[in-house]
Amino acid sequence: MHLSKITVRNFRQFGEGASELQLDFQPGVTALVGRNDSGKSAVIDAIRYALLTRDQEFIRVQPEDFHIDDAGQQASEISIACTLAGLTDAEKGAFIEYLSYDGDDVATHVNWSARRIGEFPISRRWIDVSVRSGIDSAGPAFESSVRELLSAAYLRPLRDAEREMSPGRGSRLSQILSNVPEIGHGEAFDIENVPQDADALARLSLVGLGDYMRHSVKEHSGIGSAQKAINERYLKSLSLLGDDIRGKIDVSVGGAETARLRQILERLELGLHEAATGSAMGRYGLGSNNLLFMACELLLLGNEPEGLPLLLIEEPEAHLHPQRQLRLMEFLRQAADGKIAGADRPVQVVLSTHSPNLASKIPLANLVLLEGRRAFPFAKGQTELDTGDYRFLERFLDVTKANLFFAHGVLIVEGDAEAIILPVLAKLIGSDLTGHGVSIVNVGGRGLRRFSRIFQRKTKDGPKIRVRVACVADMDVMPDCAPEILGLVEGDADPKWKAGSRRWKAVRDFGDNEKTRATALAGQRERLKEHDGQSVLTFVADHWTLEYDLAYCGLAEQVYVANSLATNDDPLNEERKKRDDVIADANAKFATLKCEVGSDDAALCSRIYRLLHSGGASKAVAAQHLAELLAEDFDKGELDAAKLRERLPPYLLQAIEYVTALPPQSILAPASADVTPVDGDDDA
Amino acid sequence: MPDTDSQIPEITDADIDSVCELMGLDGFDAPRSAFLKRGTTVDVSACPGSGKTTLIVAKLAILAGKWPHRTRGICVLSHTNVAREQIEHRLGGTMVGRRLLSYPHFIDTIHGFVNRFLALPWLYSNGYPSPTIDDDVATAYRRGVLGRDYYKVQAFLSKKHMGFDRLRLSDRHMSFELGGKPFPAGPSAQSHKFAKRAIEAAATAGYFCYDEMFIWADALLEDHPAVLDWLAHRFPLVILDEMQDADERQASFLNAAFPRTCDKIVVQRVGDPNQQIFDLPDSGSGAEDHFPDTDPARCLGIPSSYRFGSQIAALASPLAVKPVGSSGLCGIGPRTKDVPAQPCRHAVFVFPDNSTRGVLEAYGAYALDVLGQELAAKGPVTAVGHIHQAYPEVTPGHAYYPKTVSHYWDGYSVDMSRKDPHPRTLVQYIRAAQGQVADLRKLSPGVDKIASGVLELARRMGDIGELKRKACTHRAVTNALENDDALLATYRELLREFLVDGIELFEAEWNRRKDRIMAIARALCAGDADTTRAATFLAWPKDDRSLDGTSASPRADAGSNVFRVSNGNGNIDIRLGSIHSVKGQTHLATLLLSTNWYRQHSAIRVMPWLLGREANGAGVGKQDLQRLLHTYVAMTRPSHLLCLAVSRSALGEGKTADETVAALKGKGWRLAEIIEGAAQWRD
Repeated sequence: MHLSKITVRNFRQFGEGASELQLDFQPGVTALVGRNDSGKSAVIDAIRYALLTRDQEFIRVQPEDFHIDDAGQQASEISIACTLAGLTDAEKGAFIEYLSYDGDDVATHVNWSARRIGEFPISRRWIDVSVRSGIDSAGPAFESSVRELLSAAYLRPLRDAEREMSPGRGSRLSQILSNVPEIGHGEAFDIENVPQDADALARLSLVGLGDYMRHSVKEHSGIGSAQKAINERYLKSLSLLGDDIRGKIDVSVGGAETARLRQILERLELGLHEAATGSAMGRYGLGSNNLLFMACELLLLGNEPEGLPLLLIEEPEAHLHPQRQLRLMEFLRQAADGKIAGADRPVQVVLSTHSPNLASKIPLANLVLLEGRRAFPFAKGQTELDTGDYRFLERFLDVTKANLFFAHGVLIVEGDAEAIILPVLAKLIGSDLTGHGVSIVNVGGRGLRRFSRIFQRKTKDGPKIRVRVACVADMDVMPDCAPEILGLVEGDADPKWKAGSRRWKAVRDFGDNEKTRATALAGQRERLKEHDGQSVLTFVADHWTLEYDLAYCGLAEQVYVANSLATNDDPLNEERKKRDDVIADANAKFATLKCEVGSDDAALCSRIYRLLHSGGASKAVAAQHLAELLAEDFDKGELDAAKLRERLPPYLLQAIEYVTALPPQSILAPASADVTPVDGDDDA
Repeated sequence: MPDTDSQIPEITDADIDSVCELMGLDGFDAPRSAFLKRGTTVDVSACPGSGKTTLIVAKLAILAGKWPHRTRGICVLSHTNVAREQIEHRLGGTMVGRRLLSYPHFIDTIHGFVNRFLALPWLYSNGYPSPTIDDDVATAYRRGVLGRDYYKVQAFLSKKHMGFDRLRLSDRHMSFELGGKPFPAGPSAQSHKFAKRAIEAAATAGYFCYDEMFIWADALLEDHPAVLDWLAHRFPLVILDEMQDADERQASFLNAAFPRTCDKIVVQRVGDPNQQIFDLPDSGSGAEDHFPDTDPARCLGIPSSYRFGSQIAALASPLAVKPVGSSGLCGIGPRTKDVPAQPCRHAVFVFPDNSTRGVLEAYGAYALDVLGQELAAKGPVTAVGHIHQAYPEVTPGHAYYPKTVSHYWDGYSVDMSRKDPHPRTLVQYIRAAQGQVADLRKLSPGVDKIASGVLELARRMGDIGELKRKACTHRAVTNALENDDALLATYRELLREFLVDGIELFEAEWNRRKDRIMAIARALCAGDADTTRAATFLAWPKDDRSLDGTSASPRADAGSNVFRVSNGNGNIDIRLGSIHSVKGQTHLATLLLSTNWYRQHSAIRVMPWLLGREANGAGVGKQDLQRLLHTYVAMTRPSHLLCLAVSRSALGEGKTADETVAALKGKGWRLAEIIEGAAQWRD
């Protein structure tokens, strides 16, 4: 049995009709990812409200749980419907009066609703909560013991694991232990037959041991004499004649066996010990205690013979360093596959996370993006990704790239140079990527589509992800002069022009005359954009590559100097050369170069590019130098945002503008900053 | 049975001792303990007065305390809610009692089971989100669908001695039947078309009769046969009480739902095959073959009755259709030691064939004499017969006279004898609630009963919206009225008057309260309420003479059909009724009235058994079997005094009559002849 679907209406940020939340879950791990206030907690809370949690925490509906629509109208009824599917025959038997039959699908629906019937907090009972089974609440109401069976284990964010694991009345550890089947094993203590040796003692049950201790305490000479002293020396002389009161020292113990067991369990605490030496290493940190706590919950869920094995964890990454986060994620996946030794059944885990670490460790198909008050599962069939893409992304969607799940906008770029220079350019023209919550995904080659398809939904008419995704692609068509400049051919008649095996393209490959070329090049451009759609747009270089186009559009000198600095990167780092000298030298050489080529910008820029192609300069290093140079130009006042905009290749400008079109994110982004004035009593 | 062994906790002698302490019982004899300890499939034949319900409750109490499962439970089904009420009554305040009454166990009626686990889930899942299940409401809806055409159908049906109210669905494809038989007209006939329209419109609107729920249960089992496996998982132990009362449809349903050949579940059926009597003479055939099991290893018997002593046991034993125990019916009661042991005083009253005058008076006077005024006042003292419908065309001198109970007293009325389980008016709801409070000494069931009556009123007046889906409870009503303090106060005040103060309802008082109740019901309706639609429901039920309040008896149901006999020293009230209506009851004294069924006087037909010349029902024809069953049920009601009323011809003529009298006396009966309305003892 697992939670297979949830529908949330009029709860917090989720409205009704088109703005209600519908989310399908797979068995196993589901991770809710998304920005702050995207509704991750609301989803978890909705599940908690509907199914309840095993810590028996009282759910108190708050007035602000009722959704307020765009018109400012607050809803009067929240409804949360959970579908539990995949029931075994035993589970179908257990919940048979609560089953719904839809064709061959047999499921249990839990429909929780809270109706506002009064004003909070004037009315003592201001909401009417009902929990019914059946499709659309048609079935009978749930008995409380059944709701207990369907309740989820819940680990709250920033939990205090040490406190949860410490002894005390109703401690979580005692709850967990009392559900371990072996906890009742052993013999009862028999006062007629007090254990005489260690073997007899070892056979006692926990309650038996407790009773034995109680018995021994009472027999202890010190207790006896103290009790005697109290009674004979004090009480006797204090009590009136015939008013015989006597004191008795005893271990305080509850009556029934279950109560006595509970008291014993409540005295236990779970501590961490260093495995090798067995010594208690003082207090372990929050993180270690957190791991321990989760291990306990999983133990319990995996071992219980009945009920819904659902674990809700908010931010499991809390207090854990990255490597432990990864380890935890592996463990949760094993638990979800039922592969933890000793656990009898798989556990469904629904977690919310802000951790790219965790997100990168979970298969994409198990992630759900919450965005724009909607949930977008990345399960197979729900996205434009094909099976090969899922396998590809499992290999290559690493921690850095996993940032994209938390972004307002995403720039997907082909290489390091773009990844380095684009944020700088954006910042200089006043569209700070960080400020706009834009992530850069560097695919390091050609896999742009693999990543952009993550954001494209399969269904044409369903809701779409609104995160703006810009793919920045090279055109990869050289000006006709470039092959010779780069030494790829010698002269127009070089047979290499005709070689079928060459991996580069030049403009002349696209047609004999201006007109056919223009059409063919436009076709090439369109092919690169052919999968655009929904919020994904591809921005293709106007000519060839990033560096060429930067140079060609107006930053030729800066690119040349940057490339020169890159060529000299080793001597510069080893301080064999001075940066200013290299720059001065490059400026001089650039002037010479310009004279040589005259007005042939294509030749000029091709020669600038040659430094990266065959001059030994790294594109990444050059990009870094270019970034520094541009910043210096701004400092010196030689450049400003407006001037830079004019000199940037249009496709880069458009890409940056596209992903930063939404207003910048304040750190404290309030959902609504409106303050509703209190109505004045004008009529009075 | 490797699976079941671990599912059902073992019951030990210590368990039995502690449950006796819990329930305040003296202990159980060997046959009863055998049933308590039995952990496998078995049929239990429990004789009248065997304390069967107490036994089942005791077994449940033990099992609940030791029950190891959280999602598997015990299922106890019966025709009435007596087991559930007994648990509430005897174990209500205890932990085991509360456990038994909630998940995962299920203790309810067969209808309750069918609805909750099968029929309603199917209806909910197939486009009937909130079906209304009630014979009267469904019939009224069907009638309403037809408008004036109803009268055409009803006129046609009444020519066939049938009524529109017996129209029922007969399968999931909207076929229908009338009183269990094919509709008396073909599909092309107009009345058939009308009936079809009524049936289909009511189904679409979600109105169904009680018995029609079996159709939807069957539909679910047809669509999802695996449901039976799931049920077996859920209920490893099934106890079926009052098995003898299961009609054919119920018996076949129970056999299908809880197959006794299934080794995953334990099915324990409890009942008395000797009390298998039915209201309708033509039903019930076939079902008797199945209970009890033919394999003696799967049978247990409880042949001893706490109700009566050895004399009544000996007199009734030969009339048992299936032999009771190895040495016949035993009497180990009555437990009250009000009457010292005396020579046998059970009596036969012989009356002239053409007059029953003086029979009840003679019985009353004799009972008063034997029991004494004090004991007789505790009652009940009854007179019962197999047939109790009115037959005004049969008059003294007719060959079939006396044919029916009313031939012994013309003040008897069939209508008033009926205990209606589904009240038709709000007054009847309130009376039922008052009865429940008196019986259970607990307010809550009565409060909920009145709440359900008020909700029913609202439902008839208009749309009750969300309340439709809620349980008909006091809480639902108070929640709905929450924002109207005045009405809430009125509602509470009415509850207090009816249930705490226990005012006895008369027409005048009722009319004074009607408006207040109407206001509450109107507030429960979501939209407009049309009070005229509920006029009949709210009106004083003039036809229910049990409410006349003329009786001296404080109990509502004792008010009618009571014949009072006085002698010089005091009064005795004789309650008259059908044998069917007194099933399960214990009487102080019972007079079995001879009636005529299928042209035969019962006294004549059963005389060979009364005389001990015949015993049990082997080889006996179907009609005589029913006569034996009825006679046995009647003769096993009284704790103290058993009497028979037989016509003179039942004794035979001349020498035969003398032999019969001698034989009756030989069996221990006293004999009185009614001459000119007065008893003359033949001792």
